[in-house]
Amino acid sequence: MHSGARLSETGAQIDLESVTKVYRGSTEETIKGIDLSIKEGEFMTFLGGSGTGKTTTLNMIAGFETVTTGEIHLDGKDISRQKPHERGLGMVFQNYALFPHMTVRENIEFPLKQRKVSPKGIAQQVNEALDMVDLGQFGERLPSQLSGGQQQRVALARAIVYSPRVLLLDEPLGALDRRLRESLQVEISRIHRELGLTFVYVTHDQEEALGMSDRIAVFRDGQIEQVGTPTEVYESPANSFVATFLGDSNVFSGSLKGDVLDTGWAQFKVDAGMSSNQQSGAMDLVVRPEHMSIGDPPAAPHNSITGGVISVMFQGAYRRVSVELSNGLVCLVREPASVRSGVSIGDRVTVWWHPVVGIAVAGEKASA
Amino acid sequence: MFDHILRSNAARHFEIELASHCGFSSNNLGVTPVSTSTATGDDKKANRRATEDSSSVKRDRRARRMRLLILAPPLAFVLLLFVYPALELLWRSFTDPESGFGNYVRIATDPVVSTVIVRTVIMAAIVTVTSVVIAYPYAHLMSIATDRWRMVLTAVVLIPLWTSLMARTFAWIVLLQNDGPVSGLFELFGFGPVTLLGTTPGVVIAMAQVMLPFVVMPMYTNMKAIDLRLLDASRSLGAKPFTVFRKIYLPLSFPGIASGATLVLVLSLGFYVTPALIGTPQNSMFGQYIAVQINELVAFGYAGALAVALIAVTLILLGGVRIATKTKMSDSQSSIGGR
Repeated sequence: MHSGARLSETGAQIDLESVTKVYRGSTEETIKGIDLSIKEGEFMTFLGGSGTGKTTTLNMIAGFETVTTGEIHLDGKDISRQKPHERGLGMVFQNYALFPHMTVRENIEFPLKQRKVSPKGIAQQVNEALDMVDLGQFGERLPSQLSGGQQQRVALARAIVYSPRVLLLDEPLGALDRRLRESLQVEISRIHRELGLTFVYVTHDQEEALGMSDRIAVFRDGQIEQVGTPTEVYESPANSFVATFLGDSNVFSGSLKGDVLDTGWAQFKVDAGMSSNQQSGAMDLVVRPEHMSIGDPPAAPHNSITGGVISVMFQGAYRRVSVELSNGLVCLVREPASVRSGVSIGDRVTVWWHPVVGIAVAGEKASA
Repeated sequence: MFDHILRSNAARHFEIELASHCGFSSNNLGVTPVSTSTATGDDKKANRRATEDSSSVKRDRRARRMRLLILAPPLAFVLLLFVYPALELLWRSFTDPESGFGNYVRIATDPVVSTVIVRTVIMAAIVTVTSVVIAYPYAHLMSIATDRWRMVLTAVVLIPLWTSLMARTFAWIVLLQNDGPVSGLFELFGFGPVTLLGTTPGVVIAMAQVMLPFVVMPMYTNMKAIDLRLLDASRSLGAKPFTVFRKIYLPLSFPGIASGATLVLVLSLGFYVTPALIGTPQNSMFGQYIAVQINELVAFGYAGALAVALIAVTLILLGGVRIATKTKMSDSQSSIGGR
């Protein structure tokens, strides 16, 4: 269906080496030393809340922000002192950044004209790019005559039409509604597969990150907390920050003695495999809500706690049940809707889980 | 609970009041309320609807009266002080000193008039171009400056506007004198001693300064609305700095240039005080020529006809500008409005 052969090219490798950023007039480092290697053709996502430095890092790769110290390499070549127009990277912006005074076709022609492509080549490449994003018949429209989703597809076409080896995407779906976001996620993934470019994708949406990426870099406070595949960061988060940022989690803090976590108000058994990579001492136990069950617990080694139900939210495929423990902590349980537990607000219930599903991570107490 | 309901009712009532006063009620929009009673129609309901209709009609009538009341003073002001004198002028141009088209025939045949018109148009064009060229980078700086600097830059442009035009013009007479500071500045750059008072360059300098706020402000408003990420986008797509300006920023800032330039052009065509004081009768502009007819020759009819001619010239120029910029304007304006 799509003849992407002409547009496709292999992606480039990007290496960030001890990159820091201090904004003028500020004494604090916005980016506190980032080392990251993005492989050829990889879909790398920078995930983090606002003000965590993910967009600043992207802007430094693009060249809109200068690097204070450190270097950025593109296929081994230092590009950190190059101007944006010399780097030859593609970029997609959150607000689309389409030129409002140009038609869709003129927008997509723009990068090719800067590269002095022949008129014939321009026409052919623009048509291919328009087909790639299924906007073949919209070439003569102005951006203001398109919907948000269509505008972002034009921006995508404009950013890939000149076969850059890296595509930078700065929260490209942030301004779109949920349904559109999902369909564009599929489209972006497809383009990544077909073109084989290196994608660097900035988002604060964990579902986007988990669903699309080859690897995720979780940003926090100008640093990367963890880099890994979606499975890695979800199933074995490096610390309780990553655990709570990606998906809902219940975090129990305490100190580890052998394979038992003592929280001061309860004792939980920790899987031997988990506890062995942790030294004894301050530790957080992370349990995902979908791994917890309500009802009579099976025999040991299961952990269990009791509390009162304070809310039950039906969410289609599952119910979100909040259970308040006697010490005031609220525990979140995600029950498949098929389970007819029939709990309602005010019920006293027992929540249980198998030690295997608990994730032990270094304690946050000291830093948090 | 009840408190909340009461409050929201009051708010709704207020909104309705506001809407009817502002003329947004359905009747004013040409929508006739249709009361359709269904077969199982509830009489009470229909009745209530009827009373609501009549009361809304009453409210509308009151709103209309209110609008007239608000409109009356400014309307009277304009009629008395602008429309009447303008009509009087037009009337006299056909009747004074004798009935007929005599005054207009005189304008068409007098070589002095055509010379003055051409000179005025050229002067206005030079002043417009000068102000635009000076104002463009200034407005751009204003649009990207921090709040504090923007305040300073705005004040620098606007404070002269709050000063009397006479005071400013006399200040320019001092500045433009032979051996004055402006002349000294020219000398500094190797242009030798220049005479500015009573010359076209002197008049242009003074007029451009007077016009500056009128061209800076529309440009600034327009530039402030330009999304600077577009410049980043074009750079990432491979555009060199000058291309970014020529292909992206300049077209997007064009509506500001057009409205600023139009304003200056219109004001310059009829400018009187500055050219009269800094220029000479030998290079007088249209405004001065009209003043001479009234002040020295007491030819009210002829002056009226000249004023009509000036308006005609202005309208013709505006029409020309509009046609020349129409396509570009509508393009960029729709884009700015679309955001």
